[in-house]
Amino acid sequence: MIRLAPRPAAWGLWLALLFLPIAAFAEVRVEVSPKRAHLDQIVQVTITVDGSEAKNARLDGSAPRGKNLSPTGGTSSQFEMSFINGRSSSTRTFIINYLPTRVGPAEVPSFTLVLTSGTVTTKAVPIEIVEAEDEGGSGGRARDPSSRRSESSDNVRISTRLDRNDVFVGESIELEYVLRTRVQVRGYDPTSLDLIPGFVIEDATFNPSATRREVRDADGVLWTEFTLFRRLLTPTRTGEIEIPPIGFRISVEQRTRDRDPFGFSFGFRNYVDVPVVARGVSVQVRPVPTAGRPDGFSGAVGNFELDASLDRTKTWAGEAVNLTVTVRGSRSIATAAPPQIDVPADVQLYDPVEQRSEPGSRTWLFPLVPRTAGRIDFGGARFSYFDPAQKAFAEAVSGPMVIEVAPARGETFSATTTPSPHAVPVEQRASDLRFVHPAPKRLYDRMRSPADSRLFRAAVVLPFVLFPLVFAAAVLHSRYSLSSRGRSARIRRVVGEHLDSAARSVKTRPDEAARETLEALYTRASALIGEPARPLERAKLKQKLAAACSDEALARKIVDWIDGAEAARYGGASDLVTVIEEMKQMERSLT
Amino acid sequence: MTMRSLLVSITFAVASIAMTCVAPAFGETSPMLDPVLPTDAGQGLRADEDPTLRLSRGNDLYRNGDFAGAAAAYGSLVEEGVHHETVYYNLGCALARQGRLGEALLSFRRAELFSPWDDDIAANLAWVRARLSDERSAAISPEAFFHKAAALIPERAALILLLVFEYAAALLFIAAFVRMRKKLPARALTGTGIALLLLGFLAGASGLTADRLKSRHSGGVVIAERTDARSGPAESNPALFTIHEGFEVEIRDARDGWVRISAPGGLAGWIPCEGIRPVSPNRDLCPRS
Repeated sequence: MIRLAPRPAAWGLWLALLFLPIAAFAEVRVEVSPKRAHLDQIVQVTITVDGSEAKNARLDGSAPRGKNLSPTGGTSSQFEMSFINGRSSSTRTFIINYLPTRVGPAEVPSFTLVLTSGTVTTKAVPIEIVEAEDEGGSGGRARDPSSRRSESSDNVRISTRLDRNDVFVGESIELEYVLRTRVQVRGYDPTSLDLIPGFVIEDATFNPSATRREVRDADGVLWTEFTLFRRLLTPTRTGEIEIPPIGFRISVEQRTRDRDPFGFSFGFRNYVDVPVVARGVSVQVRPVPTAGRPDGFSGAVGNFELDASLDRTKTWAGEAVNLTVTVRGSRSIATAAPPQIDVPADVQLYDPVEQRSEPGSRTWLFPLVPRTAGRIDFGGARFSYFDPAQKAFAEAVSGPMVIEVAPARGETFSATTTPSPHAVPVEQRASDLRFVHPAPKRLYDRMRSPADSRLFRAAVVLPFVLFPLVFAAAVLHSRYSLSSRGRSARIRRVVGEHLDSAARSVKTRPDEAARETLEALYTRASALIGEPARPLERAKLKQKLAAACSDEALARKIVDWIDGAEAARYGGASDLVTVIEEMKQMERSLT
Repeated sequence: MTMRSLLVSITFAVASIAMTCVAPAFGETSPMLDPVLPTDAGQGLRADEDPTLRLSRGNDLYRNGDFAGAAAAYGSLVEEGVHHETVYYNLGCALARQGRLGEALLSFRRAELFSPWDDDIAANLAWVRARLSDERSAAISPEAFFHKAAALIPERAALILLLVFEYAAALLFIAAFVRMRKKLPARALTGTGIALLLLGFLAGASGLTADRLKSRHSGGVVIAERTDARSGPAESNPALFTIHEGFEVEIRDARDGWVRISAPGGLAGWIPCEGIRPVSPNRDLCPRS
């Protein structure tokens, strides 16, 4: 019989085979689509990590800028795991979108991926950027004919429109993004447009359905066009200001022709998200002329009107009147300064509070506090602006205003309390009955008092009867009962009396016989103390003995006896009378 | 069980039994002697209905503008002896809405009797008084002052406090005497007991004063549209002055169907008992012989 003994090499081989499937490995691929992109087209970079390390793979940092390429919309990541014929495979995909910024050669940058076993850096991929095909701007037309997404993206375009591109500082322009489509669009997700350097941005109000219209292009194809959103941009600096391209994800219907040869969708529609970019535009901003610029120029550019009103025309000295000023105009006044108010010196003008701000309209509230009584005439409010149509400065003014001020209404406020400048006295117009009360949880007769109840009276009187009874019972009990407390008190009293008597005997007859008798007496007496006496009483007893006894040694001994006897227990109450009789006999024999 | 613990147990048991016996008396109702009710009181309302539910139904009627129906609902509660500030307040509102200002004033005064610190009652009283024809003195009577002071603590709470403090003091005295724990200072126990006893007496005095004032209030309200006050309790006596609905007086005496009244300004006279109602609901000015 041949015995096969395992060898170290064989064990190593088996172990290697065992761990081979779970050994870490990863394969990284980078795909760029399209390699030749238009200026208004999104370049999509797909990084795929295959293998066991795909699950934990991540990009190191955010997507970097490439040559003539700017990342847009962040990085999306997807992980897939599949089991085929008992074997598992893992894939993680990163998708980064880039917007071309300039025509010419461009380069998708290299990316660093962090894996469990270390880092992997991809190679940069060169691509080419060419001019856009049409003026309206479109996006997402990937040229790969096999891509269904590219086919869908051919059907949607977004154009960027400005109502003017040559304006003054402070003169607002309207920016509009218009979607042109020939397929069903379910929705869109724009990149944030909250911040454009050089502009103050406001939402412009408009009716989206009113912007919808159908147009035919040069090839006779029918397109549907509508505005996605509008913004009012007010430039804050001069020069050429760029409005950057903005990326959209448009959810569009996908054709299912290949799966449904008869063209029926049976109520089911597939939608895909198509990345589309609206191209950037630039605006030329000129400075407002300095010649003829009035003092208090608000900085607003456009054509404006002003309304001003007082909340009341009669007041008391020291009490506020609110002046409300509204400026409306053809353009946004988001960056304009508040109107100027000309008031006499004896009227305190507080800083305005902006009450309402809408595109093309702003309302301020100016608290005015007259200091002295009398009639106040003032010119109201004025708002100076630059009219770009006339290329001249203009001013919107309110009519003159009058406030009748009565003398102050007394010292209604303390020195530490400053009245609010916006406070308006409340005037009661009428008086009326107050409303009925809701029903309480429990309705009972309030005329019926607990004091009327005999039981209540008995309960009140009871303690005054009960307490004297308890007191009397306790006194009697302590004096006559044979409980431990009564017994101790009685014993202490008897012992005290007899010890005093014995001490006197020692003093008068200090002979040996008397001393022995006394010893016996104290031995018995100390044994009578069943419970520990209170320290004060015991000390008093000892003090008495020491004072009365001429023999110091004996006195000390007696004290020791009593201390030692405190722990002793008295045998029974019935012996008490006998003991007392014996002690009395001893006392008599001593005297 | 030792004698000491037995004594304490007996004391606690007695106190508990006493409190248990007193408690049910708090919710009892008593019939009213001289109710002022709308003439159609109780119509359309079920007598066996829960009083709270009936009050809510009255509120619903009031909310819908049926002030007569609401007054009937509230009045039926008063007739059954449910004397409560909410009932009287709501009744006053319903009567005032019907223009029955004298009766409304009486209802608000009765509501004020049970709840003298209520803002709404005071406001509605002022509203009604402002619409009466007779001028009223604005002086605050000593009785009203004491009534408000006594009502700082609700009457029932005051009486419960009396019992609680009293029994707590008794227990402390017993504890001080028998020295349940030798380390407890007897003087401190006794002192605390005395303090609690005083507090209990104070609370009891407050509660009993409130009870006494509401049941023996001397105020009265004229409900007759117009009545003459005479110098004696008979029609043959000369008329001294004329008063109208809602005039508030002090009731001094009542005999033979006549009530002797007085009012600020030295006014005093006798008027028929049918023309006046006492603020205290259980005072009977016209006893049936």
